Amino acid sequence: MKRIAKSLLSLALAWFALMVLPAPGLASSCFECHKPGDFQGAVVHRPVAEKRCDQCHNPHVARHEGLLVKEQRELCQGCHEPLRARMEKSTFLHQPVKEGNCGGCHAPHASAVAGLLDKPEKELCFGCHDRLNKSYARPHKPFQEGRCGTCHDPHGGDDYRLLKTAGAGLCLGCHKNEEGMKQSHLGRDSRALDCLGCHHPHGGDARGLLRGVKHKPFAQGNCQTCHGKSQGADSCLGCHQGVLASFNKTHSHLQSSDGGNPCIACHNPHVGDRAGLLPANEGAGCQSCHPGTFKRRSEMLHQHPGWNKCSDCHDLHGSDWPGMVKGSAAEVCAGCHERHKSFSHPMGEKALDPRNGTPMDCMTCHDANVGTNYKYFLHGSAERGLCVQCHLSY
Amino acid sequence: MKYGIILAVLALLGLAPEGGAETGPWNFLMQLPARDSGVKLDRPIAIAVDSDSRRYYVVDPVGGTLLSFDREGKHLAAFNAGGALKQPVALAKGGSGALWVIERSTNQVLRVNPSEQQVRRFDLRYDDGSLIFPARLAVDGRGRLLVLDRMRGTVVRLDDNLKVETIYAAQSGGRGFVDFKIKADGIWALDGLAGKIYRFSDGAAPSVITLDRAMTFPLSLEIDQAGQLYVLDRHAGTIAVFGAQGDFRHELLGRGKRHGKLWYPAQVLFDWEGRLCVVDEGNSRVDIFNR
Repeated sequence: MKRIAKSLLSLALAWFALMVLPAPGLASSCFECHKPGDFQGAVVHRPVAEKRCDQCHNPHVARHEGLLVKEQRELCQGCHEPLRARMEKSTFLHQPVKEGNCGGCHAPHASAVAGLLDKPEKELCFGCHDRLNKSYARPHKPFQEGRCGTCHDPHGGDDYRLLKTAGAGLCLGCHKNEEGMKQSHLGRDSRALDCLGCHHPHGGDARGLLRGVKHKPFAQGNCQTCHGKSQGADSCLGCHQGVLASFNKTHSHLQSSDGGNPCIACHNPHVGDRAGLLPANEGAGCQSCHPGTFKRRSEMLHQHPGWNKCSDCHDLHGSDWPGMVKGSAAEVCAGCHERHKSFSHPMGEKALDPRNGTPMDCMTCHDANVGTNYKYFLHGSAERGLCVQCHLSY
Repeated sequence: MKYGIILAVLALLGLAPEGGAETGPWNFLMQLPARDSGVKLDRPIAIAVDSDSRRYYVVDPVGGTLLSFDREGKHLAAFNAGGALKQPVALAKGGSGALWVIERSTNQVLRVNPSEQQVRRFDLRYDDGSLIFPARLAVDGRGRLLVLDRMRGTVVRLDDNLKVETIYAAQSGGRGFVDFKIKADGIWALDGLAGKIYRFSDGAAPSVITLDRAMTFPLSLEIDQAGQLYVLDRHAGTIAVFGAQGDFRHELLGRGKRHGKLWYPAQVLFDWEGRLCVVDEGNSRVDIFNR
């Protein structure tokens, strides 16, 4: 009888504790230790405003830092479902999004900035993209005002620059004077134009934010020098005849990308950022035809430094070597890594790869092009996995 | 199952060798040249077959060499047309024992007649005088030469005087052809970047097949008798097999250097018996598979 009474008393105490004492995870108990002022701002995250700390945190114990109930990505996307769906469809993701590091840009509790951004947009973006923080004689207004999100989607998109809209649609969203635009572009349909090919979206020195290096006939207004002739490569070769020989290689990069002039697949016929009328971001040009290489590279843990400057290793007009590298791997790599010859694994005709009987070179063990998941972008673990591919009895 | 678990553990430890070769219904038959033959290829780039004499011709631009092999893979001869070949990149067998060769160093097409030891050179141009940059070539059943022009991304059929007779081009939005094959039902061409295959038959609009699987660097095309499409992915080291409607079915081989793997492969071709020949530039060999 006594035992039954004890059990009933225990149950009653437990009920009292649950009903009367503050529930763990509710703000009233959290704020006994955490200053409420640290959770206030112009914009407050809804769970904080509703004092539902337990929506994100476990007050007792958790597997994740900050006593989060789930991994950050999973936790945020649990409520922000439409964002998750959009990210799943995106070809390119912003690096913090890819890493599930929502807190890289957002303050989870409260902020003075819309979208719960950790800092004002300009400060936040240039915190990582400091290379783009430049002054221009004629800056583009959104850039000048630090409104990066006007053109870029900070989470992801189908363009590697994370642009919100493809093609001219992005620009025409603000530059609505289509008739004027048409007149400035020889009557062409402005929706079919590649605005960013000629205009720098952040700023420039010239009127209209034209890119800095101009093709001579364009600068002189002699359109007929090129447009009066064939629209094929002959319109370029008429003046640049000597260039043709550079394509006479086993692997030639001469490849029409649209059934028209193959030269303009890489070179802008009007303006560019640097000599050769090429874009400043070399890899960006290459990526448009070689997205697979860039995608695979982005998935690797270890990549060759400076990989975005493709012309360091590749001959962009043509080469006699696979992968259009400038020479044998030994030659190309020695251009920067000359000293490695003195201590590396034997290479060349005296060290044949037993798998295929070909002379070993740097690329036998390293993948400097795409990278790998192993240190020094080796094809396997340097502790053993790489070596046993040839040294089977090792 | 046990083997799978062992492989998974090895992969986690970084110990896994290149995975086993995925050959699907295909069996490895032979390699050109045979490893113990003493014959060496440097960087083979193309292959052609002579269905009458049942010979393989392999193009190795290093040293400007054409090598012939019999149906068993026995090396027959190496040939550089008396030094006329400096950098051949493609070859087709023509009539009267002649060989058509693309010589990249001069961007010419050469007609080589080994028995007469005669070499004739041709510059190819369109009617408007613009240059053709030949990359692949083939001879049709009526002895006409067809050439893939990298400059425009088209396939052109030439008449007996090597004047352009017909131009086969992709539709608007095409990215340029990278390979073509002549079959009984028409000319098949691969637009690699666009992921499309075209079939041109005289007097009809081309039929276009969109491949339902993206590839990294599609470079060469073959079509088997059942209408299946074989697309060589150079960077992935694989051959993707599609149904006649472009529906992905399976993938053969894989990237690597071991037997049964590919390292920068350059071309696929069926021989007179429907055997699958794969030119593997990076591994300096040609692999031949049968079913």
